[in-house]
Amino acid sequence: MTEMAANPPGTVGHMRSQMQAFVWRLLGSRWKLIIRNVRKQKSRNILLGALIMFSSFVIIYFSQFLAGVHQNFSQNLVALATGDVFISSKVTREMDKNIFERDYEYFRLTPPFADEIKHLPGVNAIAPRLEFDVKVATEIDSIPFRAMAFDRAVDENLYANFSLVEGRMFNKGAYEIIVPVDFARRNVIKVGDRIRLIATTLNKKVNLIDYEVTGLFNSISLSAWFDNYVYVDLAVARVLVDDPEAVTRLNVSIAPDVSVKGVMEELRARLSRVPVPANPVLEPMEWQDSAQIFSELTGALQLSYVTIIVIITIMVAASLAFSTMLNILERTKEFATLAALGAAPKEIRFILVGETMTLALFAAASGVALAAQTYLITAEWGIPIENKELSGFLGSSHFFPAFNLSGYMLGIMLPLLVAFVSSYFFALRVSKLPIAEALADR
Amino acid sequence: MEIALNNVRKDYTLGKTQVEALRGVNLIVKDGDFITIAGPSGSGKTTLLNMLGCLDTCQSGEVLFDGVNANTLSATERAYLRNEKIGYVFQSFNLMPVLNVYENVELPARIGRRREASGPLRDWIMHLIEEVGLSDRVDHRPDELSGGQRQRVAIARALVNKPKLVLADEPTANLDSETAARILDLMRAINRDEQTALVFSTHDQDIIKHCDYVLRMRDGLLAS
Repeated sequence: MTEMAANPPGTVGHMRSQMQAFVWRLLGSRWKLIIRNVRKQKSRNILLGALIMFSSFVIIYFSQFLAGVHQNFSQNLVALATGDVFISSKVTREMDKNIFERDYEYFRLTPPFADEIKHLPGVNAIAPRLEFDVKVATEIDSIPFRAMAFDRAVDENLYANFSLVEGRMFNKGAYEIIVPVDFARRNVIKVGDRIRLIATTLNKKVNLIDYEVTGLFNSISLSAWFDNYVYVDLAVARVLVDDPEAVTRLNVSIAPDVSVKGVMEELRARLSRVPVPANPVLEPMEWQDSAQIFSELTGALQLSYVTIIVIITIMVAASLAFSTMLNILERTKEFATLAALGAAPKEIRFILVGETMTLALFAAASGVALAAQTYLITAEWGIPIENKELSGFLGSSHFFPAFNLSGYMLGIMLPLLVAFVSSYFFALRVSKLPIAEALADR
Repeated sequence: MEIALNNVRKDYTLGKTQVEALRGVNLIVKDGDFITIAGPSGSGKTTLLNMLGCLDTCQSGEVLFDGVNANTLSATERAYLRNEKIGYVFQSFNLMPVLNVYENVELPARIGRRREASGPLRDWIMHLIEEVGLSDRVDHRPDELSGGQRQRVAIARALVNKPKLVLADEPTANLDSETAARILDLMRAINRDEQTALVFSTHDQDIIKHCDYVLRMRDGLLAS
């Protein structure tokens, strides 16, 4: 052929044209037509391709963003809880609505029980906490509130997330208390004041103790949760509930190289085998699971993701359908010619759907590449978070997206599916064209 | 192959007007026939070619391909029949704009992958291209060719599958006399060697001189 004549054998040009001819032979006429027609409608297909690429990018990147929120939040939660797992009274369906407002029952953490848990294989440390309803009595009023008690020596992550606006932390073993700054302002409580906590003991009696306010805090993490508590030392809180072994939750920290699932099984076996006397039924739970429940409860992000996917799908489907329709109007005679030359209806459908899907495939692949690139960059450097509360929520000054394979699958499969569905109807119609009429332009 | 049209009628609706394109046409085309159909514009020549080429269906009567009624075939079977047995040369060429000369000629042979572009096929395609005088235009696309050159590509394309019947609407209308004569010789040779039936709609006296039968159409009827 002329290409061969222009490129003598042995030259790079000759080899290239040979290779090109070989590839075209492999592809066959249908693919030749498909690829060349996609290239022919350059400006329209560039616009359409850009839309699909952007859609793919948004679907993938948003999924990585969501996974990042969940991962960042879970990691933060595990850190805050000083443990991957916690043991508490059995969670009922009613209690399961919000993990931060569950009313766990008291149980007794006897020294042998604590030792046994602490020495289970894979367990790093344990951190008991006591959460309970109180009435905070000031000189003016008596306000229903929640109290949390913890041991500063073993649970330092918790108070690392307080930002003391005024005063200092309570001391171990002292009848001291820190309160949220907003709560203090509303109830005219100052550092140095004494407030009285009234609580129900394990024996269902009412007890009260005075505490000195040593600090006012703002939470810098999970604000809604932290601001709903006043905090005291575990030992003195146990005096208030009149039981030196009382806890409502035992956080269990697991060694980094140990399987959480394995330790969970050990804990389940232990808790079912030897119930602690006078305790409610106890069960272990993963903070990761709790984080999942929390993420689902917040729901807004997932909802916006679904909304975005729906909008994108409609936009892409409408654009592709419109483009396919234009294609048919412009090329009716071409399709009729193919039919006249012997292309069966299914071959004509293949060509038309193939054109749309080829465009969608290339565009979605570009979207995947762009999303992967953006992910790699942002996962390396992180996105700075200006908002203090959000930063606290995620436990970091930077947000890091997380890899999400299903997002990639969706980002490539959805455009292809939409391309197929939106072009197939038109392809079906064009494959049934009255050939003579279409050729005559009647 | 024998194609028989028995009392074929075909009507069209053009706007609000009903046009009787064919009003009971009877015709038999056999292997090796060389027939020209002459007649004024609108007399039904193209419709008759469409019927013979299985591109259209009739309202009444029957079109029999070797005794098989085309109306009873499925769309895919009709496509297969067109691809295997019939070659077309359209008045407006109808070449694929994105394919070059070689690929356009090759297209009917590759549709449905019923044939591979093996060595003999490539040689045959190149032979056809050479015969229509386009050896130096193999890699050119239709928009880089003149009207006459496009016509020649369309003729080569019609012959690539060695059809049993070639239908052509004014096949030499855009050709100079020298090329027209060469094309006619080529088709005549195929007609003679392969027993391919040729049915042309034409006003070209040179073609009319060479053909076996001249049929004249008027108002949807074969007059002679």
